[in-house]
Amino acid sequence: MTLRAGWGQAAGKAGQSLLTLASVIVLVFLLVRLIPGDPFTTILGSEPSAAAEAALRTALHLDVPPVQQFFDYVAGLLQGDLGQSAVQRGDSVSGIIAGALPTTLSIVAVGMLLSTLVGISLGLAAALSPYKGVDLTVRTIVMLLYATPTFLIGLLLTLVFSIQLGWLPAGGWAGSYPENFPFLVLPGIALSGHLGPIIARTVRQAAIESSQQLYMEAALSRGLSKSALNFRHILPNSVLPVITLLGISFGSLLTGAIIVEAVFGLPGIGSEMTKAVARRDYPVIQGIALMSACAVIVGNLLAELIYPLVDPRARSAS
Amino acid sequence: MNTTKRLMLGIAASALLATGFVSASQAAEAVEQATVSLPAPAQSFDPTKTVTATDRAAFSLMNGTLLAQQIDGTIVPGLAEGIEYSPDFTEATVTLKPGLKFSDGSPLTAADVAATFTRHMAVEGSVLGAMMGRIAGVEATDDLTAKFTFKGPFPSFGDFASAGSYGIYPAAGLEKGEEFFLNPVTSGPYKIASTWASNKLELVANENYGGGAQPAIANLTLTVIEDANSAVGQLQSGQVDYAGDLPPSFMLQLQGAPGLTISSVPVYGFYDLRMWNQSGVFADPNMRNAVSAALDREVIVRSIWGDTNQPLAGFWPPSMAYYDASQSTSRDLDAAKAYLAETECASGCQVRLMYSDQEFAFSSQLALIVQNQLKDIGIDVQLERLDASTLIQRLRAGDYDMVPGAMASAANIPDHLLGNALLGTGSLKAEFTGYNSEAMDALIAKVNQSSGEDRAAAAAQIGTLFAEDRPYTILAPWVRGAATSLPEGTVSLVGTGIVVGGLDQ
Amino acid sequence: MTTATLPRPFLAQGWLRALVGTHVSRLVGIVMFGTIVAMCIFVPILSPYSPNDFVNMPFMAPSWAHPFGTDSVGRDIFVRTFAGGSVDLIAAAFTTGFAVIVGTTLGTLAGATKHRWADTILMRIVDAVIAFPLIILLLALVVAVGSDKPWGFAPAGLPAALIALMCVQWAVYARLARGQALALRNADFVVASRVAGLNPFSIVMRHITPGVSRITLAYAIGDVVLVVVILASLPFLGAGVQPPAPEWGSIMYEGRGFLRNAWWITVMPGAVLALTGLSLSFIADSLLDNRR
Repeated sequence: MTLRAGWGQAAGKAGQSLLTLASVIVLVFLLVRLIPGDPFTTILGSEPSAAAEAALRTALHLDVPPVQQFFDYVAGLLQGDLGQSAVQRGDSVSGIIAGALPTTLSIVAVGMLLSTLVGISLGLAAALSPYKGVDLTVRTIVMLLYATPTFLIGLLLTLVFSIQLGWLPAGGWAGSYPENFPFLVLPGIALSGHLGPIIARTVRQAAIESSQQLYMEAALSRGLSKSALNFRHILPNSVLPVITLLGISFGSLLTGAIIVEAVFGLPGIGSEMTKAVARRDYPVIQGIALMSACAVIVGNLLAELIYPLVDPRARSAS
Repeated sequence: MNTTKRLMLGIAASALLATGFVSASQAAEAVEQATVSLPAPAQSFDPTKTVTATDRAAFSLMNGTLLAQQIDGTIVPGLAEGIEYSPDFTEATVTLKPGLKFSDGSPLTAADVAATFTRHMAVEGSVLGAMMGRIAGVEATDDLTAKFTFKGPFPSFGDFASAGSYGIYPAAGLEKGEEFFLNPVTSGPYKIASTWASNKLELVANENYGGGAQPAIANLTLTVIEDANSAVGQLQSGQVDYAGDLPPSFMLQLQGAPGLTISSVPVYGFYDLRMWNQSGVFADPNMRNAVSAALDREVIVRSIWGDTNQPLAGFWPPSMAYYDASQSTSRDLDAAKAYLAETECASGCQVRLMYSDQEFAFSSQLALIVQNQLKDIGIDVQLERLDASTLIQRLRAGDYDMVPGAMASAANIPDHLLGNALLGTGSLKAEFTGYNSEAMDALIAKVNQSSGEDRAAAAAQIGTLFAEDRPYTILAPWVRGAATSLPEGTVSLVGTGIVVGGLDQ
Repeated sequence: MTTATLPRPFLAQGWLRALVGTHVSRLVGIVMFGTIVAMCIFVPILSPYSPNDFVNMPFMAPSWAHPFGTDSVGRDIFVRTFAGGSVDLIAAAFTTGFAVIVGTTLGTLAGATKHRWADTILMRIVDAVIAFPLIILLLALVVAVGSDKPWGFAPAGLPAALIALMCVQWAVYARLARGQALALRNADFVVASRVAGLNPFSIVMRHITPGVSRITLAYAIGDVVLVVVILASLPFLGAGVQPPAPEWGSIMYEGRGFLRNAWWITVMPGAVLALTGLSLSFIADSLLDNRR
């Protein structure tokens, strides 16, 4: 009974996500056409002839009314076709995304891993002795990091670890594994400078809360040792919210990755995105916007589905 | 470091052009692998479609040209053994070296030369118009001979043909249309090992290259690194061996860095402050002259380039033969005010200055200094920071008062520079300023069609007329900054391309 | 946005911790933030030169005359940093204030309403807005609104950024408020008042709103920090406040090309930004602590 209700709820949420996705498609299509400027300058040089421009307009499918452009675009999407790049002739949008995505996902993965590890350790360390020296130090560091822009963290990391110490490459991308690993370290750290503090705060608060739950006092009075308690009750209770947090943060990590890629010169989604905006490559902008929106929607959906499993209060409430 | 040396070399180069070619350039040391970085994006392997510095660098590395630019900027025979002109310079006969081959081993003949130029001439909206527009036709008379006819006298045809964008492609390949340019067969020092992926282009020495020595670098990676911090960081950590087109601020910071050679390579052109000549405040030549006199080029150059560049006010840059060192570059506020008194702006006015950091890294610095300096003669400059795409659109539409710019020719070719930077009927509208003077166009025609002393006299007259009309304000010679950990003579920016030193033959 | 996480309030326990943990950090936060705000107000007024003057040689290291050094054209970074601070702080307070009011109102109504369809529609809009890539919205708006003209007191480039942030930020608060309102709706005391016959409006005003706004307010203070960071990152994407107007992000952006020989252009405003964030976080945390 509860299981069937759970499935029904999940299906409902997935349906809502599809609705969200549909509105995002409309929003993206409209907004991309708000950007003034056109791709002709970048493709045809500064003085294109009228004939060349007209030919390109036809080739890019810009000669039909916007409403028809939209329906054609949606029809293409339904067949899994994101269209062709307007500027890089012969390249499909999905090809460009597929080429750039692995780089971005690797930084995001390293960023997530580092933020999770560092965030949880710092959060727990702080929570074990709340309001004492360790806690205050950790909180101060965490808040400082949170308030430092990602690009500044990236620039400072490069300055210290690549240029002064020469330990790690200052940027760039090898293109294949395992050669890529050294190139992932600094961008990953820079990216975790944002998510890490959020995780640390959440873990710390969850740990402090759960240490004050009634059943903890009961367990203590039953004579369980404090370290056993820390391990068995506080750790799971404070780490579980992190799963939800990671789902919700996926979008902001992608945003952060765009800045990190600019700082470290990485050939990822971010650099394709900035390139596409600069060249007014509408199909690529649309494709990337849609892809990152999908990532956020899926992340949120997962978080929403997992949340009731983690927090019994939310389960009973709904 | 070796700035002045390079500036001198540029001048020496122009002397060699018209007649014979002798240059036993020093052989470079062999290097197995090297990575060259540039900030501009890669767009296409089709030379009629792109003008980005990175694509042009790729062309100069991959494309065999009739004449070839060497690492020191000199122009020597390339695929052609020689070019013979008719007495009135309206025809040229190109004789190819025997036994030339493309990178795929197929023979390279005069038919391929004819096919390449015929194809480029037919492309609509081509960016190669400055040269193709002057060619009437080309045909192969036998395997080794191609005959060009020109629309007018064209004595500098050979110099044009030394730029990588004018490289030779196989006729059979060109027949395939656009598809060919996705991964073209090459005729130059390099062939493609793997095409653009992850912002990298892998090139390998083309053992079939018959236009000159084998390049000193056996495997060359061309990589796009937009952010200068990243490029310099990678240079210092050894991932990049040659970082080209570094912003001036980085050139200053890298001076004295251990293990690096810093160079400012002169391009055959200049940095300038464009003014829209056709309407608005700057339609009045007195206004333009007032700005030119009021700007303190010493301060601008010192702030942006330090000692790696010098002020320039006249039209011809020091890298070209007609440079006029007597034109004053110093600030003259009295003269500026005298000019201004003749204008609507006599009691002060407001003008707009648009710029984009994406175009020149020093744009915002320049804009602030100009704003500050023009305040002294009562001109209130409003700054507009735009993205490159919007800026180019407004530039084309003439929707601006002032905007920083730069103009250069592909090699040491006065007519190329004139066609882009001053010709009123040219495709670039005289450096986008809308300047259109019959007197100037007549002088340019004279330069195009003459050589020797006649040419020098016309060029000097152009300098004088430029100073009178002042269609825009020239600030400094265009120099391309580069830093490398490789021995000197291995690889260098040259003109708008990149050249790798040759091995001993 | 990362702002989607809600810091759970601490459970205050014991007077000692309340005093040491809460009051000291709050006091430190208020003193720090107050000092920064005061400097943002008084440094530009009392300083002998204006933020846009070329006052000395370029690239001068920090000294008594120029505590933060000078930039690439010889402007005083100390004056520019604090003149720029007011732009960032006012802009952040403005957009966050707007987002809190609009988002909380909509979210609370959605959570409290009996019309589930209204709730569903609003929440789908919220989801779409949150899922929409902020950077694309920003870039599009900056070009669409135009970045060349100032609007009243707002320097050129800022209006577009503000509009983009206002378009996006409210959604997070709406979701936050709705979640809280939903949870409170079933809370015993609300159910009790409903049974007792209080009309729905009074229930919302008397019981749900206070519970919602407490969390939201603490969250908003933290959000101001985030907005300041976002504003400062905009020049990196070709958007943001137009020069020569001083703003933390644009000062740092202009300095990034000189990091090796003039680190102070980037690091000094960055340090002030980080300290501002730190002080606000101290205040937000301590507020949450004390409320329970």
